[in-house]
Amino acid sequence: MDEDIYLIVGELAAIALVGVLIFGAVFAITNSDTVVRKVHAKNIGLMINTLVGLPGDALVKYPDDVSDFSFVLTTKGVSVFKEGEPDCSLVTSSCEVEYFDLPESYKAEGTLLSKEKLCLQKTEQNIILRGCP
Amino acid sequence: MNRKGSAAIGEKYPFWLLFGFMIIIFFFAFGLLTGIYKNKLTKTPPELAVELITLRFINIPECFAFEEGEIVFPGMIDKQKFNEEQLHQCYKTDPEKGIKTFNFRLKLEGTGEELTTNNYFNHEDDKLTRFHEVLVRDGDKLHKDQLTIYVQEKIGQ
Repeated sequence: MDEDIYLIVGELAAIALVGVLIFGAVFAITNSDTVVRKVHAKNIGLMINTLVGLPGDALVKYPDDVSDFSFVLTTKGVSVFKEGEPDCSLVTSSCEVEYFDLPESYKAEGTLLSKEKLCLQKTEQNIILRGCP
Repeated sequence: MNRKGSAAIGEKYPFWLLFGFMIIIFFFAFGLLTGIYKNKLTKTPPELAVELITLRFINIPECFAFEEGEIVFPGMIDKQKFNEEQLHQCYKTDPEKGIKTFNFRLKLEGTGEELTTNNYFNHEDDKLTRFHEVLVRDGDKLHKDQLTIYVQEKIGQ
C-alpha cells in the first residue's frame, strides 16, 4: 500500500516536472527577442544593398523604434545586440549578424547604442549607420 | 520494501525507461521545430533580396553604369567596363563561404558576352533570373540590349 502511494506520488512528480519544463520552454520562446533581432538585421542588410544600388548620396530612416537594441555596422555586415551582452564574436553571444558584399571601393561603418531612430547615410562610397538628425 | 512493492516497481521500470526516452526525443524535436519556425518567420523572399542586390550592376559607376564626368547614367552600361575585373570589384563573395550567398551570371544578349561572379558554378536550374532592358555605350555608339542576370542561390547549409 505504501509502495503504491510512493509510486503514484513519484509519477505525479515526474509529470509535474515535465509540465514545468514545457511551460518554461514555451514562456522563454514567446518572450524571446531573437526573431525581432533577426528581422532588424535582415532589414538593415536589405536597406544597405538598396543604398549601394542607387547612384548618388542618400539618407534613409529605418521605420521602426530600435531603442531596445544596439547596432554595429562594418564593411562585412551589421550586428544587432543589446547593451551589456557578450561580444558578438563569441559563440555564446546572442548577437544577430547579417552579412553582405559591398563593392570593393565601398566602406561601411557606424554604431548606434539603444537609440530610438536609426538612419543610414550614403555619401559617395561610404555608408554610415547613425542616429537620425 | 516487500516482494509486492518490488514487483510493482519492476513492472513499471520498462514504462519509465520508455517514458524517459520519449521525453528526451520530445525535447529535441521541440527545439528543432522551434528553430525551424523562427527561421520561417524571418525568411526574406529571395526575389526581393536578388532585386536589391542586382540594382548595383546597372546603376552605379563602380559596377557597369556609364558615367561622364560626375554624371552617372543609370541603365546605361559602359562596354569598356563590362569585364570580369570590374565585376569582381562590384560584387565579390567570400572565397570560402561565398557559395552560401547569391552568385550571378550576367549576359548581354545582343553580343552574347557573359560574366560570372567568383562563386558561380554553371547550372541550368536558375529560378530567379532577372531581365533588364539596357543601353550599351561602346565609345560613341549606343545600342539597345538586354542584360540577363542568372541567379545562383545558396548552396548547402
